[in-house]
Amino acid sequence: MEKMTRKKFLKLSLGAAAAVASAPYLGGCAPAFIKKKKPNILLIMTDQQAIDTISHTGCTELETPWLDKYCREGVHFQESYTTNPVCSPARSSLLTGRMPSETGVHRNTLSINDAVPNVGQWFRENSEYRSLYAGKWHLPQSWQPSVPGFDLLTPAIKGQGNLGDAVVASACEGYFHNRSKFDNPFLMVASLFQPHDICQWFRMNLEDISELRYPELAGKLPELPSNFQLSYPESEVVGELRSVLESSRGNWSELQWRYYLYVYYRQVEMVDAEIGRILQGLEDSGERENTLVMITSDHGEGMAEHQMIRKNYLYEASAKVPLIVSMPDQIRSDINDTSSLVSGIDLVPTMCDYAGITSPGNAHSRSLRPLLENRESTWRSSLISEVSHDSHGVENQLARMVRTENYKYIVNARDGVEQLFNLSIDAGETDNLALKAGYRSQLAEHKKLLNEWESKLEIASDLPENKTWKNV
Amino acid sequence: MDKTGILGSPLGFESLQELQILDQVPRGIKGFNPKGNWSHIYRIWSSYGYWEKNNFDNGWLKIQREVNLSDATQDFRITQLINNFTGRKSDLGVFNLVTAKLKCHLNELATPIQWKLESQFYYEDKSLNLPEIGLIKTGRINNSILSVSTNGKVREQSIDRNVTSNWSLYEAIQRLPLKDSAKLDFTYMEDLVVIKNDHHLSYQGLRSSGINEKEDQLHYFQQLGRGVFPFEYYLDGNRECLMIVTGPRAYILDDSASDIFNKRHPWLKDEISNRIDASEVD
Repeated sequence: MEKMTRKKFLKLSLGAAAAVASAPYLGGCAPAFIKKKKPNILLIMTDQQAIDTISHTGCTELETPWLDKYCREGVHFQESYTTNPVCSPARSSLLTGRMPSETGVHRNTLSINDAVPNVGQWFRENSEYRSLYAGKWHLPQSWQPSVPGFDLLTPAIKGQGNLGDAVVASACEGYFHNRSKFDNPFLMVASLFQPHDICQWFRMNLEDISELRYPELAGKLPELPSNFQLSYPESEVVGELRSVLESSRGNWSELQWRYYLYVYYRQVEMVDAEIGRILQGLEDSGERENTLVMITSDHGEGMAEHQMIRKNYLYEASAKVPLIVSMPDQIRSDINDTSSLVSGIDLVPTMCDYAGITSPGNAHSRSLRPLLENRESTWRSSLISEVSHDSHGVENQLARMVRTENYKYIVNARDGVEQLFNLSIDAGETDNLALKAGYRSQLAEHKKLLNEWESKLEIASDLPENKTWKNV
Repeated sequence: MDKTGILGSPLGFESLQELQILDQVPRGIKGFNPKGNWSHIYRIWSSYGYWEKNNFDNGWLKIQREVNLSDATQDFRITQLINNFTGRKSDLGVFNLVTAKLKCHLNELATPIQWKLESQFYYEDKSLNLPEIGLIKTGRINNSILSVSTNGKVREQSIDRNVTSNWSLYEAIQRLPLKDSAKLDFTYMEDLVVIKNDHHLSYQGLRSSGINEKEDQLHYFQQLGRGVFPFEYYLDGNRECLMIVTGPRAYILDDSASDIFNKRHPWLKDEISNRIDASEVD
C-alpha cells in the first residue's frame, strides 16, 4: 500500500474541506466520500488471571489501578468464561473466534489448524489494518521468532513475565509514541505473561513451611476462601489432578496456602503495572478516543478454591476470566455486567464488528457490540467450555461445562461424573445437585444444550479421535 | 547435574551452585567502599523452576556510581540488556537495551532527582521491517511532583516523598545500617517507569551462603511490596551487594556477564557501544 505522506494528506484534506464547504446541505448526512475513521484495536491479554483479582469489583487483597480505570471507562463482564482453561487452546479461541475443538488446539504447544485464520491473518486479508503482536504466542511455542498474520515487535521470554513483560510493554508504548496519526489503523495484541509466573513459584515452593520466610508478612496474609474445603462428588480426574499438584505433593499447611495467595496477588499487581505502561502510551498518543481496548486473560487460577491451584478444570476460579472492553463515547462506561454469558470466542467477532468487516467466527461466537452499546438484542442463554489438555500426567481429562443463567453443569468423559451447581445461591460450587432428587429436569436440559452445541461444532480435521466427544 | 524435576525450594546460593550457575559466592571488589565511586555488573539469570531445563541467562545490568559530595548527590549510569527470548544459542535474538543517566540525592533511599532514559530494540534478523519502537524518557522529582516526558509528551503526578528506584536502591542498600532496626518504607519506581506502592525493606541479620568451604556470613535484607516477588539482597562484609534474588530471577555480581551475549551475538557489542557513545554526546 502506498504510504500517505504528510504533504499528500494535507493536499487531500484541503480538497475534501473545500468540497464540503461548497456542497449543499444534505439533511445532516455526512457526504458519502468522507469515511468515518476506523477505530484502532488493542487487545491486552494476561496469562492465568482469575476474574476475582480486580480491586474495582471488590477484591480488597490487591491494588489494580489500571484495570480499575478501564472498568470505570468501559464494560466489565462478570460472567466471562474461557473456552478452555489452559494456555494454547484458550489462546487459539481468543485469536480465531472458534472453539479449541475447531482450531485443533486441544492441548498446549499446538498450532492452529491451517484452515482456520487467526485475527491477524483475517485483518490483513480483509482490511487496511496494520496487525502487530508483542509477547507470548504459545501457538505452538510461547516464544517464537515470528507470528503468522502479525508483525512481531518482540516475543516473550519463556515463562519470565516478571522480566519480559516490561520489555513487551515498552515495545507497545514505543509503538504508540512513534506512530504517525496518518498511519493505517492498528490491530495490536499485547500478550503479557503475568500472573503466570505463579507457576515458577509453585515449582520453587513445593515444601510446606513451618514459619514464614518473610516474617513481616505475619498477620498480613489473605484468608482462605470459603470454599477451600472439598465438596463431593466430583470427577476422579479432578481428584487425581489435585493429588499431583505442588500443593498436595508438598502437603501444604494453611500458612502455605495463604502465602500462595499473597504471592499471586502481587503477580496480578505486576501485570496491572505493565498494562498501565501500555495504556499510558496509548493515551499519550492521542488515539485513546478512537481505540477499542479489550483486556482479558486466557484462563484463570485456582485461588485455593476447592484446594486447587493452577488450571485445566472447570471450577469457577479456573474457568472464569476478566473481560473489560472500553472505547470512550462509543461503549458504555462504568458498567459491571453481571448477567451476560460471554466467552473467549466473542472477541474476534467484536473486533471485526468495530472494524466493519465480516467475522471468521461461526454460529457459536457473537459480537459483544450490542451489550457494549446497550442495543436491544437477544443474547445467548447458555455457554460451553471444554477441557481437553492432559496435564501433569493425568490421562484423559476431557470435560465439558454448560453454563446457563443460574446453573452450571460439568461432566467428565472418563468417569462420566456429573456436577450441577445452582450458582445463584451457591457461587462457591459446594453443593452438587446432580445426584439429588428434584434436579432431573435441569440435568436433562443441560445435557440437551450440550448435545445441541456439539452438533454444531465444526471439528478440526486434525483433532485426534479421542479428543472428539459427541453424544455425551 | 544430577538432579531432575522441579527445584522444590526458593532460589539461593545452594540451588544456584547445584544448577552450576555459581561455583562460589561472587567475589566483590577488593577493599570495596560503598560510599565511594564504583561500577557493578550483574548477570541477570532466571529459572523456570526445573533443575534440568529452561534456565536462562536473560541479560545483564551495569551500574556505575559517582558521588558528588559538594551538593550531596550521586550520579548513576545504567546499562541494561534484556534478551527477550529463551536465551538459547540457536535463537534469533531480540534485545532491549536501556541506557540511563540518573542523578539522585545522597540520602538514605538514594531518591531520584532527575534522569534521562533511552530504550532501544535490536533484532538479530535484520530483514524485519518493523516500526520504530524506541523511547526517550526524561524525568524529574521536585517537591513530591513526578514529571516525566516520553518522546516529548509530558505527564505529571504527585508522588510520595519517600521514593526510590530499583537501580538506585541497589546502591542505597549498601549504606544502610546493619542492625535489626534498619527498616525503610518507600514507593518503588521500577526501571524509572512503573510506580509500585507500599514497599518495605528490612535488615534480617547474617546468613550463611552454605556453599563456600570456609564458613561465610552475608548480610541479608528483604524487600516486600506491591507488584513484585519478594526481593532478597545478600551483601558481603564490605557491604557490597553480591546477589539479589526476586522469585525466579537472580542478579549475580559478575564482571563477565556481558561476554555471554557478546560471544553469541558479536554484532550486539558494537551496537551497544555505539548507543552508549551516542548517549555520552547528549
